[in-house]
Amino acid sequence: MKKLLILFILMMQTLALFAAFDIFSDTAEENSQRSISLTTETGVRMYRDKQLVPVLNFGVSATQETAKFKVQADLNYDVQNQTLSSDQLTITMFQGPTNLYAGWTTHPWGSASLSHVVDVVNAQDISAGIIDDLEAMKRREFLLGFTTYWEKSSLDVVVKPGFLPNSMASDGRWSLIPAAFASVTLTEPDTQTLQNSGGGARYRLHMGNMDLGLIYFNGYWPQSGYTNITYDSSFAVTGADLMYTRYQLFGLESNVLLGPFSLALEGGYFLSEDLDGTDSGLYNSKAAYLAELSYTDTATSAFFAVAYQGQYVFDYPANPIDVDVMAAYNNKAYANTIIAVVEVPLFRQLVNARIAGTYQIESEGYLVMGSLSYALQDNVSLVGKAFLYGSLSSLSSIYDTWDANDSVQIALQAWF
Amino acid sequence: MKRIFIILFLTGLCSSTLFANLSADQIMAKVIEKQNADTSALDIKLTLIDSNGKERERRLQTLSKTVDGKTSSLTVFLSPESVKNTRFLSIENDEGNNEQWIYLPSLKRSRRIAGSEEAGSFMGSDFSYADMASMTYDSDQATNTLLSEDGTSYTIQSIPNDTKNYGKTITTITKDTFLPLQVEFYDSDGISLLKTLKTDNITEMGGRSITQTVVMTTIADNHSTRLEMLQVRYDMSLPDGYFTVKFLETGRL
Repeated sequence: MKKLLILFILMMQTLALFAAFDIFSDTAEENSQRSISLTTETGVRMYRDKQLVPVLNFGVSATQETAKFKVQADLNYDVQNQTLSSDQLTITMFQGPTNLYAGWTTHPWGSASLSHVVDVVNAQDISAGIIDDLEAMKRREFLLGFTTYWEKSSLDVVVKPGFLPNSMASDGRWSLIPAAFASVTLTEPDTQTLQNSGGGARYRLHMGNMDLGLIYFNGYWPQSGYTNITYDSSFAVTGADLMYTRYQLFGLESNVLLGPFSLALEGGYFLSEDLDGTDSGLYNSKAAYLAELSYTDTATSAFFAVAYQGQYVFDYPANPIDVDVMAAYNNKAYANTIIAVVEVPLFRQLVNARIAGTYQIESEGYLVMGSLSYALQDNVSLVGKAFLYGSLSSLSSIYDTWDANDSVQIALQAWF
Repeated sequence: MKRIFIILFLTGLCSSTLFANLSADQIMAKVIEKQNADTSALDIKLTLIDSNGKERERRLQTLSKTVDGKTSSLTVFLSPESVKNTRFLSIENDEGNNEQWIYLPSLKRSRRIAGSEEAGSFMGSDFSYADMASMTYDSDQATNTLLSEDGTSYTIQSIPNDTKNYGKTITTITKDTFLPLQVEFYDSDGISLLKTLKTDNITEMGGRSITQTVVMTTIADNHSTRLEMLQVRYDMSLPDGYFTVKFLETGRL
């Protein structure tokens, strides 16, 4: 937390060095743009077991920008958990057709709206469940990157000095560790070292009604595997070292307009370092795919989208303690999910209603998320949310594990 | 050119010339002619006013450039906070269709989007996207009839060939500036009045006479939207770099 605060103060002191940018301004002084905004969220979340959890967050977003530089610092303080986190702490330099950035941030890839299979640069934080904001679920980490633009295409390159794995709760209601393994000692390696560096690039091309992106990435699968598993005399697992699988992604993303519809396609081949799939602690190579059809009603601005997403693990092992088997749904080499969303603005955008559903076919697990926001004023909204986890069967899945975590939340959000 | 917020409808060059014996088509042609500008930069405030007088504000800036009859535009949404720095790019291609992208800062993504939302409400206001593009019709788009004329104004009835948005409009136009003073928008039956637009505060901005404030009112719910021009520039040098995916994503030339 101290490190974040010091960085924030240093960056804000540096801001005054820059001049500004505005199409209506004639002088460099007028062009200097600095903005600071504050956000608060105050409310309460109630779980199905009647546990009440206060929601109290404060955020500050500060930006200073010129034609050549942009410094952005977005910090959040969660009062309940007493954690300070950075959504963005970056400096960007703009030089001709190229911009170069460094800092704690995310680097999004993928062309769809509801989900992605090639958005691999940042790991996910599911330590408090799944929320209806893919970008907010990402773990911020230190990245270096640049994007250079041509008339109809662009190339973005990102480098990760080290990496962060997925963040999961090890205890409590959001833990995914079975009770039988609660006492297992897991040894976590230091992943933020130069030996664990990764990086990749995306080349995007705009052609007629189609946008196409080609992706290459070399890095680590953010979900851990296991090695050096130890057992007690009754053959119960007592400990294991976590390990991570290096892979290369050869991917593509596209978005094509079909009349009033948008069809987004994403796909990729993840080539694992475990080439023949024999190491039970490493993940095997796999293919992932996603197709999404979306439509916006021209009269009401209502948005509809449905997506089909899945993956297929090559050389699917028979060993029950292989990580590919442990991560599989219903012991299948493949896993497929249907996602649907409807979002409707009402009463001249005073009210926004949204409902999203996810159904995992092999495990029959599901998640339904609904939200309703009402704009009390221009910068104050009352937001209600509901989360419903469950499964149509007793098959193991993340949705089934979190079945008791259904909740409703009501909060007041304000921007200053 | 749809979903582009030119609003040139509100502007016209000052003219002391009085035009006698003009037909309805000629008058509307002059209104449109006065709206022409190769480039424009507009800073706009929209105030949404409900039937109880409660107000909400939206602010946006838009750039447009027309080359060889093809118009590109870029719009930056400044408020409310929930849409701040959202950018919208529209480029008219050789086939006359618009290629459109939107950049959502919260997602850090730009995305090509389909079609226009002609009839949809623009930012919850009483203006539709089609209204924001243009509210007058030339002779190719509608049958224009001169209903009346007095010493200072013309009143023109326009029945559009395509009635999907409106069945009829009645526009009152000043003779000295050829700026519309008032427009009535009727349903597809040509009888039911849907919306009225009234203008106010004609002033000089960007080297032109401009109606600085207009108010559009929806009859059914007595909701209205006041549109104010805060800053205006015309026919200035506007680099092509504004109308690119690069500017959309970075906000930089």
